[in-house]
Amino acid sequence: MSSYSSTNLRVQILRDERSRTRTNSIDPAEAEKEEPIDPLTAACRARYAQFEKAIAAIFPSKRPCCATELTVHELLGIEEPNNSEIDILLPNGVSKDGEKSTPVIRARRAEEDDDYDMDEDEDEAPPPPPSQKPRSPVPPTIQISSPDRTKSPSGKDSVTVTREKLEADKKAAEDAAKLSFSTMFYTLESDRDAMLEQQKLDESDRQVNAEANAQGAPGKLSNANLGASSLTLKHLIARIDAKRERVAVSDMELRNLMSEVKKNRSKWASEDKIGQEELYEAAEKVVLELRAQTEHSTAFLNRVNKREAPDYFNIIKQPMDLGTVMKKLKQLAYKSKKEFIDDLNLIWQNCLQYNAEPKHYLRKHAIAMQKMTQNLIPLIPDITIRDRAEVEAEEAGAHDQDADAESDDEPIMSSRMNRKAPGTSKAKKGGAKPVRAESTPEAKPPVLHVSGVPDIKARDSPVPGHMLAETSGLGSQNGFGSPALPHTPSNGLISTLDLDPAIEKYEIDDDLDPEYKIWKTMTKKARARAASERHKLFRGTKINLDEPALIRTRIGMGRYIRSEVAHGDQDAAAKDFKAPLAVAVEEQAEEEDDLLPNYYKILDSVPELPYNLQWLGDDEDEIDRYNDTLRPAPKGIFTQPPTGLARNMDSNMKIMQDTRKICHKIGVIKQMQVQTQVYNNQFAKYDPQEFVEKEPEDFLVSDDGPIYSEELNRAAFQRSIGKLFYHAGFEDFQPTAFDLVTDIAANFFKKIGQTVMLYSETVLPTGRFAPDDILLHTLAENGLEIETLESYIRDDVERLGVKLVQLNDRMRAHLADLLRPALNDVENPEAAEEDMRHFVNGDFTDDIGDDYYGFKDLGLEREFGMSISSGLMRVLQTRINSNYQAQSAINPAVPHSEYKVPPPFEPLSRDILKDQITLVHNFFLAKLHANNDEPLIEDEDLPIKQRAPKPRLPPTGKITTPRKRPVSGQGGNSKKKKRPNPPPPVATKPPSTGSTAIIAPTATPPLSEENNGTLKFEEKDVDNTPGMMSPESILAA
Amino acid sequence: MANDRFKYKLEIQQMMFVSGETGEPSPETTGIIEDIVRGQVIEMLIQATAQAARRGSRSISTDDLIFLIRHDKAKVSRLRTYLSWKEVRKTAKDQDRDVDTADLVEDSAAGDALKMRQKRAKISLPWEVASYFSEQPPEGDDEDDEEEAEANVATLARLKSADERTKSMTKDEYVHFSECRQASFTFRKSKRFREWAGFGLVTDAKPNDDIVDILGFLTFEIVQVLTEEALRIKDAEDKLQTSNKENDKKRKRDRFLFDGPGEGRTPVEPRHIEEAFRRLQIPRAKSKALRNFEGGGVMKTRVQLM
Repeated sequence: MSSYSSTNLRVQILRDERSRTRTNSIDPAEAEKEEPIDPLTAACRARYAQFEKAIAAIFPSKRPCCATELTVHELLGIEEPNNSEIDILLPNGVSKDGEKSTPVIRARRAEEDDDYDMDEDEDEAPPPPPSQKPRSPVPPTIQISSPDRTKSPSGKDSVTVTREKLEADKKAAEDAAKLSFSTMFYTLESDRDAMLEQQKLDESDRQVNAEANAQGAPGKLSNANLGASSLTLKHLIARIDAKRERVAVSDMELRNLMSEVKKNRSKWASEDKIGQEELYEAAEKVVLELRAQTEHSTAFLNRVNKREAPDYFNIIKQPMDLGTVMKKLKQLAYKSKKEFIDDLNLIWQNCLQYNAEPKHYLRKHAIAMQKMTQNLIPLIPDITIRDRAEVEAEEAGAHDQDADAESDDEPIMSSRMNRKAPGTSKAKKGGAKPVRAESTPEAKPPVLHVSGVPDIKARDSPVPGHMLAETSGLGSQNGFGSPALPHTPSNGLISTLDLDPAIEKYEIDDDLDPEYKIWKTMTKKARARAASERHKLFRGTKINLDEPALIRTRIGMGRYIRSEVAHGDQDAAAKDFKAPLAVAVEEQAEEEDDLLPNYYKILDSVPELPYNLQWLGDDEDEIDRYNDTLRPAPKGIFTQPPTGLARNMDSNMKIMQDTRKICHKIGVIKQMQVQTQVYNNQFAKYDPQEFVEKEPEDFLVSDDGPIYSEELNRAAFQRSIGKLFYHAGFEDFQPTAFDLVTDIAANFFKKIGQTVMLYSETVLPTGRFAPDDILLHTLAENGLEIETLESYIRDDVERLGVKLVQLNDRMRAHLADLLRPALNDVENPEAAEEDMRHFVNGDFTDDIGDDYYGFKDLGLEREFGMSISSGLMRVLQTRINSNYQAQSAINPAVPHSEYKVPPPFEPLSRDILKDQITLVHNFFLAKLHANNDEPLIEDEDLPIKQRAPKPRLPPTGKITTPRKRPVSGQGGNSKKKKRPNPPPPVATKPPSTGSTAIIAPTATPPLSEENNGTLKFEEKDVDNTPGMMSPESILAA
Repeated sequence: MANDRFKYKLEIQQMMFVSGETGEPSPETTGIIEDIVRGQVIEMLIQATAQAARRGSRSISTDDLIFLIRHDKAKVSRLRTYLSWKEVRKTAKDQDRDVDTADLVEDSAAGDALKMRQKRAKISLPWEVASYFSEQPPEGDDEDDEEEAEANVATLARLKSADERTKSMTKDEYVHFSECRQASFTFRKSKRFREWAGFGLVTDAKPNDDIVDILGFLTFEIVQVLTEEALRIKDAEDKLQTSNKENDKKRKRDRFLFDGPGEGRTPVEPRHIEEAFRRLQIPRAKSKALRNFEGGGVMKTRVQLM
């Protein structure tokens, strides 16, 4: 609001100061150095605030919670009179002297104004006036009254006020921060550190507890100091002690329980010790506070390990740490505030001493902690614990009626009184000590900041007072000698003066946003918990399956909805969230506020899933499920559609199976022909099943995308590969080979997919790739050519199918051939039946009556329509027969069965010759004449000896015979016949060959004997023809 | 000294002649071809040995060798024809010997023809359809001639071109041509071939004669392929040169009565062979498979068999 004016003031200040330095040369150097900093930063802050507001105003948010009260016209700066502000401020007790005229003061006021305004903006709640200004210095009144050993009631008040004020300060700061949290965004990066620190803290807690437990006599509650309760709960405690072993609670827990039972009594309360409760409560708070500063305190939580720093105990004679302090607290080892504070300071001193190197990182922490300690010390009442007996003795001496009232008879009352009015007892104590003087009320502040915390008596010394006088003098000089400005620079100022010079070297805290810092410390615990919960969900890099499922809570959801509503999402509120909202509002009270932003609670932020179940009626099946969520996966995803190539391959495989079956039968039959005896289960049945691609079991999908199920997909892929294997001729395969091929194929397809992706995502200057181009590119990139694919389909699928069919036919024919002998007998089964009795002792097949050899399985019967028993026996018989029939047994059988044997040629006689063409008449007449007019006999029917030797032409086609001596007779013969004879019947010869072919069937009467010469002639012609055919062999050679 | 190193100068010249090279190739050319051929033979032996080892056998079988060229169906078919005729010739020889002693009246001519057929078709390869099944049916007549015919296209083309060349030959020339056709790395010089190809070093086992024969056949094919490719290159080069010349100096083209004889065909030079080899060694697309996204562009491949 008044920021605009403050900038104006700022100019004034500068001017004033300049003039002051000119006119007033007495100014101490420090004053000049210190003063300009303050207004500068103040101005900057003012600027900052202004722009912050400007942002909010320029970009207004519709959401009520985020909107600022500032409007643009406000921003434009209505200059408000400063005087009024100062007037308002004055009652706050800064100064009643009213130096309104001095511009410096005005400026200062204005600055404070600024601060005040800002706080007001952030902090709507009207807190008590002094605590409204977190940044404002401690009001002098309070400072003055802070020495607590004074007798005056105001002094007593002042202690509590100091504490309250400090707490209130903190609280106000936190409140302010809280409000601003919603406007900031924090990252999760520091959560891990927070978690680790928190873990360390917890660990040290446990350790301290454990040690405390170990030291306290275990089991005896009565031994433990339970304070006042030990009297009231005496019997209970005795009882518990008696049954101690049956109580499954640790001592510490019991003790805590006890202290809870005692109404309003802290665990530190003690009957015998006066002041213990107050001191320890405060001290504990301090320690906890210090420990909570995990950013800095981590190193000091536990004792220094000798392993970590071997020489530590050489340098540090008296090690100390926060854990030990806590332990000592629990052991009630501190008698006074001083002891406690000495211990605390010892920690930091040790650290600074051991890590003497100025750059050491721990120093930074130690100094920060030290500073923090200084700030916290005022919270602790300065009490020396004394035995009640002693005090009472004193009191008795002093004859105080209060003490009388709270006699031993009513310890509880007395202690309560004690607690309620610590001031009184202190007052008594103070009264008991005459040394206590109210000499210098202002002496307190410097004492607070002197690191050593001097003895109480030391505080009485005039030195601190002098110091204060000096400082206040400084302040007054700053203020142009205005004498009544006791409100000297704040705690912070003095503390910086007092602190070790080293502190100034290190800017203690990183230059973080103060708000962020506050947020960090405030939410540390919550963040640590959130992080550790998150952490629990994972094991390594995988999700921990053993963790319970995440469940949304109503409270969390309610909180989220509320924030949504608060952000003006009225729709959400109106639509779905009414009911939950109501619940949420109800339960709001229970909710613990951990200040974490919503994005820490993802579960709660998940919007409500729309309902997909609809009740149509009351019957069970009348729940209608919408189709757009879970539904059964469509069929056919994992099976090959029966098209194109797949169909070809399937039919190929079917033929292969069929052929294999036939092969099996052939094998069985062959085996039976060789073996003398056949056993029942000698032949494993071979009955391959047809390949059917099975669907996976029904499962549900929720969208139309591809199905990601590694196992299922792999199995389906393997099935396809298995089919390819089978198609390539493998009947079975090793699983390892199978897996390997699957992996390779998967790799290959992955690359194909990647390539397709790459090309479809590539943008050319002319546009994108056409789908065809993408495909071609992909194939080329992956080493495939269209020709390759084509030739695969042509050669390895289609042609393979043709070949398979051929082979199948041949195989069938072969099987039929093998079974032929048996089939012959089907015609006269009785004979066959008779026959086999000769072979078999007892017709067991009939007796047993079943398919002993598994022929039914083979399907022979069905195929060839023969009876099992006869077929079997005939097959067996062939084995015997084959001994002398040799392999030719099959060949003669063929013509018998299928063709009628043609009638033998009629032998050539004169009668038949008449019907023939005249061209051959002479020739045959000559022959007949030579044969004494007997019918001519066919060559083949001649006795072997009389047959003409067939001239043989080797496959090479080379006619080598003439050269060879033994053959020469024969070969020469044929040659001679060929050479001399052909000339005369040149005309007749070719017809003769033809005629034999034609004539032979018609009539060739059988002749008894034949003249060699003539027949040879014919024969040779016939035989020569193949000989002539082999010029290719000559060529080839 | 080249004579010491190169042992097949004459054979290679003859083979080149048969393959269409009319000029007289220089010893350098034949030397380079011989080196290439030897490299190929050694590579084949190594791969075949590895293949045999995979089967669990120490010695190479003919199948191992044929397996290496299985993708070149035409070549396999030619090789099978060659082998079957070799078989036939062998049996014929035996029969001739038999005929010397056996009874002359035996009527086995028809049987012979039958046997011949059977023998011819007998060479079956383990990766063929018939081997899918445990039983082998007797050979039928309905052999798949379609494939055969397809595979023989190249062979027929070669025969045709040889026909064309021999058509106008005189008798002497034809005789020379026929002699050249019989040129072989292995025929009647099996021992020399074994030494030359370093059989003892490359494989443990002693390859049998069949393998040497197959190698002889394949070496001839290699020389032929190389020569044909080199001739193609040379033709293209010549064409380019003549066209350049025509452009440059038109006058030169005029020929006069008493000009010296025109430059005849120059023989194939080593560089042509080298270029041909390079072209034949261009990596196949197939070798790129599975290398995509894994630095597929640059790779080291084996010598490719031709």
